[in-house]
Amino acid sequence: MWTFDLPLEELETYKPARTAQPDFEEFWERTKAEGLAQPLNPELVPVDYPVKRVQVFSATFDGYAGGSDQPPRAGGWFFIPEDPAPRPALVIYHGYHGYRDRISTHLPWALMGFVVLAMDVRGRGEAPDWTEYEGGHGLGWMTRGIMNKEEYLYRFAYMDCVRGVEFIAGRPEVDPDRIGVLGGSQGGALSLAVAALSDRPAIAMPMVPFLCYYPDAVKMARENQYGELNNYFIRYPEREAEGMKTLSYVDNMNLAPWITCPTLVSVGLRDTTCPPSTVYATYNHLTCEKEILYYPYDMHSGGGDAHREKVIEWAHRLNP
Amino acid sequence: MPLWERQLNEWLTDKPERTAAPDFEAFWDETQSLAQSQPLNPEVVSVEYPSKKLSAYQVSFDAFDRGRIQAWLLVPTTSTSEKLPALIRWHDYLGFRGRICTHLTWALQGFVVLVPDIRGHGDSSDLTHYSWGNNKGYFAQGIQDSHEYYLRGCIADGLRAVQFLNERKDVDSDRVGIIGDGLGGLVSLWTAAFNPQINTIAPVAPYPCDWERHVISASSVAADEVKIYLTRYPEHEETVWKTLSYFDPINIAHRVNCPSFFPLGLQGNTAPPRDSVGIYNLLEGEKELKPLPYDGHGAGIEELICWMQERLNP
Repeated sequence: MWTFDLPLEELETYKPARTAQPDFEEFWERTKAEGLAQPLNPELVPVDYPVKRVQVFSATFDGYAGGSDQPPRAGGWFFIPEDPAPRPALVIYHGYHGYRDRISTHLPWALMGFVVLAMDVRGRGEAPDWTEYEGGHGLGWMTRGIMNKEEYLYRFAYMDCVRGVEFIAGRPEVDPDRIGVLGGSQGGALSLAVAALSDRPAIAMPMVPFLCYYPDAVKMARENQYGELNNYFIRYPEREAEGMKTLSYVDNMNLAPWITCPTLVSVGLRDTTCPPSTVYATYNHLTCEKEILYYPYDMHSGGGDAHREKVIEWAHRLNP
Repeated sequence: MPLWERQLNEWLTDKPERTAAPDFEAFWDETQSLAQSQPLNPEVVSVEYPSKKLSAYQVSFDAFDRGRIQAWLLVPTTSTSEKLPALIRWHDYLGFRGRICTHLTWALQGFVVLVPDIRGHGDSSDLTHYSWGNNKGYFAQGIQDSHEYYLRGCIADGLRAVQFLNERKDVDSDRVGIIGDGLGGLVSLWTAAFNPQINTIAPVAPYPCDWERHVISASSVAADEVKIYLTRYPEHEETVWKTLSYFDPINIAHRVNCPSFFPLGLQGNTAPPRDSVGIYNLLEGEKELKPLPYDGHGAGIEELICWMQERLNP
């Protein structure tokens, strides 16, 4: 039988060795400590919205500074449902070429009774990227700072997302023990990373996650996201070893064992954007309570609304 | 003024000429009375759903003539026994009713939401005894005779969906709106034209409109299917245009008197925006066109939420 990736039976046990460098843990302990110590300086601007069962705000807070004295602001839509506090909360991250999207996209979650933060990821939407990179980069975000793990874009993006959870945990409407993280594709990667780097999430629901097991990803990538790395290594073959080393620090396969909360993952077995082997490589390194739902006929939509029903079911573990 | 706006302004002056056959009214009076006299035999089965903010049901009722329509019915949980406003959502050609979560945005705002599968789509059967076979999808099915044509059943089912809601005790029948995409937009125009009870409609890129022009200028599945038929049976050309005239919104739009919200992506070519604007020009009631100049099939969802909140007050 022809499949473009490994057959399901092999995917289910596919567990390549982690590629974490010796200072992987030290790198993240230092980054986390900095990221959690830095004040948020949150600000909420109310948004007039026709649906009166929720209050909607545009929220901002300081992004991860990473040594800079001028961190850019991070933020997103922030929803408070009318239900009595304390409420469970969800932090939602978007896909690679996405943005925080319209208010209505997240409205169902808020109307189900969750406090919601739907973030713009650094460099996307209304979230600027002010890192002073040493050099240039290719199209997109994948190669921004790739030659230096200290300045790589996803180090900052991951910490912004962790700080998003800190923001919501500090809200008086929220029960900090009932926070979930979710998102699709890049949003799936960010959900995994935040679940690994923050003690707060009680549940993670990454869908078709990106930024998983780069050594496979760059070999299989046909489309623009991972393909941005391929294009970079075509131009600069001599930079591949160092670039791949940087990527190992933000590889969710390496972060996976740090996740302790229950985690629901989805994967499309025909997904050429986030290939199944990269997702399973990561999933098989999870040691938490976990479940993976695979969609044999689907590509990067990863089950679409059929899977979204499962996410809604899982999210109700937080008792909205 | 941007180019798209100049173009739109030009389209806004263009009222397509009706192509209705002399017995058009009689044909629809008969269809409507048959659709409304046939019993529904509704069935409502509760479906387990994680959110306690609504009750979900799998419902069904007899389709027009033969067959059975399957639908989701979502009823928001309320603390009062007051009747609720309702929305019917009709999906597009070759679509399906989606999952329950597809419609939470509306149900959780406080609307009772009915989401049927169009006959022959999803779980709804199309059991019409057509005299002929077919070439591809549904748009050439029954095209030999207006009484058999596929869209007759779709439209009649649309009227029956309203009837289904009217029989429910939790629905305020003076506050019923319809949102329809593409083919579903056509069904919503027809329903509003025949049913003065409908409070408001939002046809999103209604399709097909202005049939003859659509078939020769649109790059749509509907146009393809009709062209395949006309290529095989050129001698039926006159019959085809006659049949389609009974199902062309240009012949019914003037009877729509309820407030209509028309979100319109100007980059679409499945439902060419010019044709949709033609229909919009014929509407008699309060109406609002929301151009989405750089969007193909956009639904203007935020504006739609605002419109339905104001009109139906959930």
